[in-house]
Amino acid sequence: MPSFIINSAEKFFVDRSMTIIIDTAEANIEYDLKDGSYAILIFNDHAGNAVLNDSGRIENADVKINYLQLEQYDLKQNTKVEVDKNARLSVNTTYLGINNKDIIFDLYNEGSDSDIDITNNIVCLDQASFSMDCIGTIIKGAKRSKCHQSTHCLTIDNPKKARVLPVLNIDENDVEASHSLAAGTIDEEVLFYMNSRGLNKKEALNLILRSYLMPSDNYYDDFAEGQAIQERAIKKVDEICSM
Amino acid sequence: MNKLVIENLHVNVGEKEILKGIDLEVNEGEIHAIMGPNGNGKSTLLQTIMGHPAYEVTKGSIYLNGEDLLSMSVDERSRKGLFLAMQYPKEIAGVTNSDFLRAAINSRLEKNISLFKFIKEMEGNISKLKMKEDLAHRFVNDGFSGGEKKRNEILQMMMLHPDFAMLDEIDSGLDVDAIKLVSDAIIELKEKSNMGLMIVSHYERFFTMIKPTHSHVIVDGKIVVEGDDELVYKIDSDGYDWLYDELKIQPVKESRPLVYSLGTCARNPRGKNA
Repeated sequence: MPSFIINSAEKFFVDRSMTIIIDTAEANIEYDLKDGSYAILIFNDHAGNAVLNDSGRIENADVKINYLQLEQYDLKQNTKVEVDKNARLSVNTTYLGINNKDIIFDLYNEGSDSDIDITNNIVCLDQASFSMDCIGTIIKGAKRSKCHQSTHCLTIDNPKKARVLPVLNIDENDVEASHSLAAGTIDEEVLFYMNSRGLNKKEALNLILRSYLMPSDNYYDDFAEGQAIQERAIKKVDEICSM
Repeated sequence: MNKLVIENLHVNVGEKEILKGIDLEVNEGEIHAIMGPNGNGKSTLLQTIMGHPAYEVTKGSIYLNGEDLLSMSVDERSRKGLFLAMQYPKEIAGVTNSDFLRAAINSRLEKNISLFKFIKEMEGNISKLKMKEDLAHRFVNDGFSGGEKKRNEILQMMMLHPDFAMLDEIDSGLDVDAIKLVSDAIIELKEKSNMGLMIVSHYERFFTMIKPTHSHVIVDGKIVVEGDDELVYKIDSDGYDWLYDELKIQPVKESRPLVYSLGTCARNPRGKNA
């Protein structure tokens, strides 16, 4: 899978499977994905505050997009994707941080038999301020469409804000739609269990945070590349847990 | 010689005093059976020794090899050689057994265990306990049956090599064959490492296999009688009533929270609104 580094605000077009490393304060991405299967990984590696705008249309394609955001800087993300007839979009997100993150997902079932599935894994550490609007819209005429959202939000210590708003706008009958949201802190009993095996709080936290990165495993077509990204992600988790 | 010494231990849960002065000494190689009616302090004793934050020690002391255990955090106690096999082991979704155990083993070593050594040891123990081969890659206790969870506790004990292991009703939820497997594994580890054991169980069958060297009965937060394995057999055949009569004591009645139904809006099986 080719790998690209975005280092300017110039619009970046995505028309094939790829790994995108963001190394700029503002990234603008446009998808044009038709007729096929695609796996896109967007890894924010910018050591500074960043804005990510991505949008596009998916036609007659099966697309997986994985967002990995582990940097300890502010992020504003605005994602808008339209999924056309018979197309499928799976989105997996991982956000981990102690900083301000403001995320909007605006996903549209535009055609009949379109299918959208988004899974969010969020960890808000001490002093973090996180806000996500996850909006799924099934427009009139998108019969037999599916739109499912699932979000796990874990808060550690005292985040300033951890807000997730799942929204479903449905303007068609004969559709499948759902949203689920689980938010909370680490169960004290789980922590005691892990402590009782010799793990201190940071070590226990490290294991739990790594588990939040696991779903992104499925998104890598190339094993070596997936492993390399995972190792980078694990390194970030280790850095956070040693703070 | 490894030694765990508990002196005049008083423990509260919230406002309520559960343990009312426990004195107990466990030396390496000894197996102590802890018995008593439900709700009288057996699990509280083990959880307190491990350091569960819900249990407040109001008086007394616990020393492990001369070191003050009460001043240590839970993870320090574990690294000092204590192990608690829990009555209700927690599920940790997303964390695999192998990652969990490797991290736990590494936390007590100066140099991380080699992957080869870890896998070899884990596979050997999984096979000994007749657990499923994919256990290492499954999430900790997630989707496990009651029996699998208990066996997983024993697997963790075998991997962590504690000096003192506390087993809280480890035999409940196990079928006859599994009890034999688990007790054989405990005995083998005990003979190899000479660890000390404190075992809470209601069943003579388990103690017959484990053969305790000491036994204690806790009633209303105090050890009211002590003995050897003969005491276990007597309680199994005669119950506790003779003890209450002889010592003129009464057990604490186990209290359970009252549950009130507010009705339901679910549909009944015939599809009509309830």
